[in-house]
Amino acid sequence: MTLPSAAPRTALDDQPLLHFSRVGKSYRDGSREVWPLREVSFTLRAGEVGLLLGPSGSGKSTLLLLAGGVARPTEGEVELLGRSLARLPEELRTTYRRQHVGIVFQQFQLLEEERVLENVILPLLPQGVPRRVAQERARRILAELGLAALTQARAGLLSGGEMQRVALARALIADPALLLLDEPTSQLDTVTATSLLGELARLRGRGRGLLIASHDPRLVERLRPDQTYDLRDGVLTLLDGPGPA
Amino acid sequence: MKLPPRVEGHLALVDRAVGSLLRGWARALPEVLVFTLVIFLCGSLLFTTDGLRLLADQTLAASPELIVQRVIGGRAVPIPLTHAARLSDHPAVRRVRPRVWGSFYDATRQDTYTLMSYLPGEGPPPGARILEQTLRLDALGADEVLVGRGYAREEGLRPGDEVILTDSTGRPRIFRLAGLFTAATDLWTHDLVLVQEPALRELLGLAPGEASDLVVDLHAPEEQEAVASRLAGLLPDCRVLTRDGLRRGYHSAFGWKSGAAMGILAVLLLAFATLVWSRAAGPSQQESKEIGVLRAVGWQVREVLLLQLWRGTLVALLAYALGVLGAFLHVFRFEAVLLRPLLAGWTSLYPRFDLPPSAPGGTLLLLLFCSWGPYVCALLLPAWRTALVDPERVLRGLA
Repeated sequence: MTLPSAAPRTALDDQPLLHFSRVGKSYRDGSREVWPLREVSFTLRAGEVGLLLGPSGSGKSTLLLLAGGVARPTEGEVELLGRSLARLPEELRTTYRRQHVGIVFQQFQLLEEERVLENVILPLLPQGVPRRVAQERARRILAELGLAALTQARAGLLSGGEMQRVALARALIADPALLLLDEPTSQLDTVTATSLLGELARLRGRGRGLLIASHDPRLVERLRPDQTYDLRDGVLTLLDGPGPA
Repeated sequence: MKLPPRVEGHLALVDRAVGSLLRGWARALPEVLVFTLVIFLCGSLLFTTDGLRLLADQTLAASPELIVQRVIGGRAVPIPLTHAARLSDHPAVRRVRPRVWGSFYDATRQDTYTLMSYLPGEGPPPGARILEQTLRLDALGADEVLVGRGYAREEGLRPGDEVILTDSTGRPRIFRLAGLFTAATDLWTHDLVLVQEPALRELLGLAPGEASDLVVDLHAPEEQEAVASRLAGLLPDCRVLTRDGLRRGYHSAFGWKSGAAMGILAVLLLAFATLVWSRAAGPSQQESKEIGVLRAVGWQVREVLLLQLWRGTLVALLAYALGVLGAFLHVFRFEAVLLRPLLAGWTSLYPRFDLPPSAPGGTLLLLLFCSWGPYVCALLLPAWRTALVDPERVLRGLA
């Protein structure tokens, strides 16, 4: 198995990879202000797996988007590798995201008109990685995820499980330190979900931090996360693990 | 070969832009077609007017510096040859030659043709081929004529045929068609009938001591404007036309006609503007999603805009290349068949002519910037607005 690995484990691995401190996020819905997250605090270290459980609409996706610097918190601090994402200018925040974070979105967010290979290499294109190198790396990851035969298939024609793996390959292509997965098994049958969880279990052994949001409590048994949280109505509760740093 | 990362990044963007255009060809095709049509028509118009100006310049270059016409009551009348003697005495004048020419109306065909005699010393530049037959202009027989291709076509004439012209007393005169002028001279000879001077004087009823006008060569052609005003003072009943003035007149006429044609094109330009405006109004749902995904996986705003810039540039360059090539072939290979009636004719005989192929850099640049600029702006503006929004909101369909 040669899935891209984050830097080898060192003493720095005990440093916080991701740290949420009293994070809140609000949206404006017409004249009403909605707070999907309130006062959220937790820490994830390199090599750890964090599992966020909670029903649909509880704010899990919002929390992941904040962790990846895709969205900005309304209040509080989100730190990735010691840098406050909210305080970073937009351009640096984006750079930080593409260097250190891989995201598998709940709806996969693949470009469905495009081929699998084109989707996977997207994060590398603007970074000046030669196209041939990017494609070789993508083919290798896709092969390891069991998608070697589908590199030239149109993404929109894939099954849910195949899309999930393509999205995972795209998240892994830049070899990120933090991998965020939103409902990774929600659209998969049992066999495919088990296979995917096997892949994730292998990824955790490579010094990469994983933060997974799911409404499926069976993941606690199958993933054996280092930390498990319950998120309801925007409030985060520690179920199992060391707790906030 | 290892390229710098910045170059690799651009190559990747170009590659992606090409790929997405090929994938979305059904959406891109109407834009490319409308775009190509606009550039084709504008290009045809500009190439034609540029070509006509060039042709006029080339022809006028061999023309006399001054033409003196006698005008009475605002109407050109025969000029006495004694005026030629007075002009010859002026120190700036090198040579004065009387010209005999006129026009006649063919009631049957309702066309007006030009009658002219050969003026010794004034002819085509050395080496220029103006006749389809191997003839010398000064060897034309007394009962022979040379005609332009338009006249020959209208009358159904071929070399050796009889040509019947009516003189000033209404009596028919029979000539033999000795030859035809070439297509290259069409702008000037299309409706022309060239006759020897004695016969032409009989046709026009012109007395031996008179000419239609006088052509004047100067010692210093660059002073033609100043000399013209002095000669006009010398002959108060005459007007003096300068070669430069004629050139300005032609340029102005072609420019005006070009402007009128541009007005007709306005409808098409409006359609193109509507297309551009609809582009600028906002990206499609699919484009919004793409921008959101690119931003979410770590693309900077400027990288998204660069991608759009390359896309717009590729569409614009493709349409530009097709449009300019089509316009070039239309004007210089197919004689501007769509625009010729509007731009070239001044009788009901629309000249067919071979314009000298030319594509001035200024015209090409004008076409490029007038097409590429608005289109790329129309792509960049909505992409920029979308890319500035948090990708989360784009992905959730909130922006």
